[in-house]
Amino acid sequence: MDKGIKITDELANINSSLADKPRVTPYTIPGDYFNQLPENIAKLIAAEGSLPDTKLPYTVPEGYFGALPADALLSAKSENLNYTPAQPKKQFKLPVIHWAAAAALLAVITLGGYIMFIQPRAYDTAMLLASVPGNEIQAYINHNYGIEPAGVTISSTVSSLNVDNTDITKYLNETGWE
Amino acid sequence: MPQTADQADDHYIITSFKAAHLKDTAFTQLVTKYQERLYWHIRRMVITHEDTNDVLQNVFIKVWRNLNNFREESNLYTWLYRIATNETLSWLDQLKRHVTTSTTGNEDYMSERLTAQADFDPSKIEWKLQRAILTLPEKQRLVFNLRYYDEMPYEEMATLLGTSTGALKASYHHAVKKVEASLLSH
Repeated sequence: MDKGIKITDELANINSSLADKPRVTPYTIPGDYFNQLPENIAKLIAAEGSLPDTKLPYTVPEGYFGALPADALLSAKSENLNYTPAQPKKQFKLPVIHWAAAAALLAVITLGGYIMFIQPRAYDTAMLLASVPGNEIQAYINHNYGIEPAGVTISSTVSSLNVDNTDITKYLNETGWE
Repeated sequence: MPQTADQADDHYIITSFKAAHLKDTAFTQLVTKYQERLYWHIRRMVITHEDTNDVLQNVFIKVWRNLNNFREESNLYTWLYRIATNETLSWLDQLKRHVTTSTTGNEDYMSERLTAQADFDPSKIEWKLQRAILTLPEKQRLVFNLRYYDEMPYEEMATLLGTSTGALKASYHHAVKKVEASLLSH
């Protein structure tokens, strides 16, 4: 470097107090540092040179990539021959005959229920008739047979009218029990 | 063409480095010739020897990688100083990022590094001067060191730092005044 410049003179020219200060850097360094530095740098450079570059150290069989597309296609096709598509889960199915049997059973149950709980029962006529108060029967007969109430005494019975129970029952069955 | 003996020596080193069988020898010559100047250039900025050594090693590794591409359009030492300066400023940037996350500021942290140096004596003028230089902003500190300690001509500094000589002169003289003021106040 050209040392033609006198820094102290330059500083003196601008009346700087730094002109008469010692221009020393007070830092210390290890004793043999500069003697060893070239060798240390050389070791670093050698280590740097011995570092592998970005290439991977692995080898690939010759012609591998050239044959790879055809090999992959062949593998895919052979794999495809053995390919078994996934089966959907089995679902529980009843045969038609079973559905028919179930429908018949349901019909029987429905019909039985209807007969048991909805359809009017085939009452014991005599028992029912016995449970009807005599005055109500009397009033009914008077109304339907044209017998004037005045001609009928409250104490009179059905039997005194010479009407057969069978006829009465038959009549009631035909006209209902309202 | 080389104009001085020093430049001729540099040209020989560069030419030898580009010859494979002379490469190692030429590089050792280069390191031997410039190691101390580059070391002190870095050390005045980063203060500790260990950090200086790390930065300097990185500088020489970059020189090894890139010297083949050096076209001798500038002086070798200017080229070396540019690499060293860039590495130093990068290191200082990393330090600042590290210090920013801590409680102390960068200037305080650098001052702590200074006072932790072996043989530090706050009563001695050379240590007072180092403390005063640390009050300068980073780039101005660089200019001050290059001129005051390395006696680098402004033209060379302008090439190295990519700044005009006028701006460098103004920066240096302003730095001198700040250092003087700092010395007077302590």
